Amino acid sequence: MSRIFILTKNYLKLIFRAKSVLIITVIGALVVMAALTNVFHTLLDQAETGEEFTIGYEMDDDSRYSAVEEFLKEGFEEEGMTVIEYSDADPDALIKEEKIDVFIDFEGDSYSIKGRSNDEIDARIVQYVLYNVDHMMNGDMGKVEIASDKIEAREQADADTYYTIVQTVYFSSLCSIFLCLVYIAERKQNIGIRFRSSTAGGAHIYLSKLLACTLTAWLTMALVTGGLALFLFDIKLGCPLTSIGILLLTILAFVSFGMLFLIIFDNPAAAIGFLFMVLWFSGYAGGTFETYMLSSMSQSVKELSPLYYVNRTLVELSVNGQSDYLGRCLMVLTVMSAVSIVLGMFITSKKKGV
Amino acid sequence: MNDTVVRLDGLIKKYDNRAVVDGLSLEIREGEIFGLLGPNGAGKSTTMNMICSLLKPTAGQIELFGYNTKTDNKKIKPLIGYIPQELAIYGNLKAWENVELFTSLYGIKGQALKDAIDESLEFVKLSDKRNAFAKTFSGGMKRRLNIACALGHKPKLLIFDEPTVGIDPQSRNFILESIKAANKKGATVIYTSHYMEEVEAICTRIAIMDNGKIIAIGTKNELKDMVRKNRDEDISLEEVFLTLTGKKLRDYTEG
Ligand SMILES: Nc1ncnc2c1ncn2[C@@H]1O[C@H](COP(=O)(O)OP(=O)(O)OP(=O)(O)O)[C@@H](O)[C@H]1O
Ligand SMILES: [Mg+2]
Repeated sequence: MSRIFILTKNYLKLIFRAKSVLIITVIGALVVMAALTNVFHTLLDQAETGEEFTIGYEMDDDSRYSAVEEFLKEGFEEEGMTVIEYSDADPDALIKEEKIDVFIDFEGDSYSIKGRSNDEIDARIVQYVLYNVDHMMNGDMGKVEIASDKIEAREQADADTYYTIVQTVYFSSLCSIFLCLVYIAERKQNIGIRFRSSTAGGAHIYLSKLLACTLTAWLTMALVTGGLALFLFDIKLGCPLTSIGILLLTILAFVSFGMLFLIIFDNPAAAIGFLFMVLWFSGYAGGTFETYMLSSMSQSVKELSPLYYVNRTLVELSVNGQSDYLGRCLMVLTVMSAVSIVLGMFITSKKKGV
Repeated sequence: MNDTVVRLDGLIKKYDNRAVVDGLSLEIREGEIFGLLGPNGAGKSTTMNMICSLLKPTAGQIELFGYNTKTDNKKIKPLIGYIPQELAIYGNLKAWENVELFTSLYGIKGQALKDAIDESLEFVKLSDKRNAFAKTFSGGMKRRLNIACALGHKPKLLIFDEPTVGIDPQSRNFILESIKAANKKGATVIYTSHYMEEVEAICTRIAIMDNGKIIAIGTKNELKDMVRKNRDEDISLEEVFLTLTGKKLRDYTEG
């Protein structure tokens, strides 16, 4: 224990003495996040406030939605949409002639939506309204099952919230970069010789590095998110305790994951280059750059990215106060940390650190 | 018999089938300052690394304090203080922090750790520089700190691998004196160098090594006796080396 404590203490000193690195990280992260969020904001706004939007629908008498027809219409109109009722219409022709943008056919217990293929966002807004109605009816009657593909449409986080959350998560995933400060110093200065000739074990050496970097990353991200919240955006974290817990766990998982690269590659620059490629893909698939709601990527690709679970959970917690992804998110992060730590400790024991 | 600190038996290290250390056998007894003298590339560091379990021998046995390195590594390590040829200190840590970190690796903590830091720094006369960053040190001071970092756990066997390379004569004398002092306090010392005068000045017994093999071993007078015709002839270790190997030691070392 004392070994881990003293090693961690000295690693923290090494990291914090590279003040310029820390300052650049915090300020850089703030600037990049603010800029990205702004760019995406504009994009998302353009996408959202398109031209007039018209919905055509056909309501069968036996549809369970007929009871709430008026309510539905109001819902759509509140979203700024025009609603037209048809009977025996040809939806494809209507859409082709640009008379309507989306056609909803209510039949029996369900409905189907048709829309122009490039208007996915609008189709999702429609789904969103329908979902709310479903939800309400579900509450009233307690029997409607909501398919999970419809749940997807319910989060409509505004751009600020969405991008602040996903960018915070993304930057958290990059925090293992701090470890470079330690690994570069150790490789350059032959410290491995001392580790290997001493009685310290791989676990001491591994855990103290992990601890030092994780603590640094927690502090840095606290400063970054604090800065964002104070000066730039009004972020609403849903269920603050759960959300903060997830962020802390995310950092632990990604620091231990990134550390694997630094342990395996003898060259820290190569390790970081390779790691950032993996993380970029993870961000790309997980909704860091393009919202995962609108992304055309297939669900199975998204689910390859650990960031997808984190982003989705935090965004849903923020918007809805709960998320069906919470369990999966915690599981992914825990498994990721556990596997990385066990592997990292094992390899460090073999090579003793450096 | 049980005062044997180091026993090497047929020690071999091969890289790509080239024997860098080639069948080394020797014994070092408690209280000795044992000198390992040889030109660059003789295999001195390789031998030291194997003694410290930093390298696995290709063949042969190493026994330290009666323990075999293959089976009793854990018992051996706390008994050795290894001062590597290449500096191994953190430039961005202060002198005392370097000693603290490397001493703590042996599980030493609390007051014992504090005392060890003070004593180690005092031993190499860096007490007044304890709060200075190692990167601001001169070459000689770095060498001294490098030594201090291996003393904190109070090892019984000190292994110095060319501790005087590239430093001024004053620092060199200081280091040689410290080695003698450590030896007086009870530590057995292995000292490798390619400087004859140093080895001649401090070592109680000397092995001359070339191409991975020990060519001669003994006290400096025994070594000289192997070469000189009569006892009064005054020759240097340099000449001993030349006669035994047919090569000049300096030819290797100064280039
Ligand atoms: N990892 C390695 N792979 C291949 N050859 C090596 C390796 N390490 C050392 N050698 C070779 O082994 C030989 C002995 O090296 P060693 O460092 O033991 O010599 P030395 O006596 O300590 O020399 P110096 O006085 O320069 O420190 C050298 O020829 C070196 O090139
Ligand atoms: Mg050497």
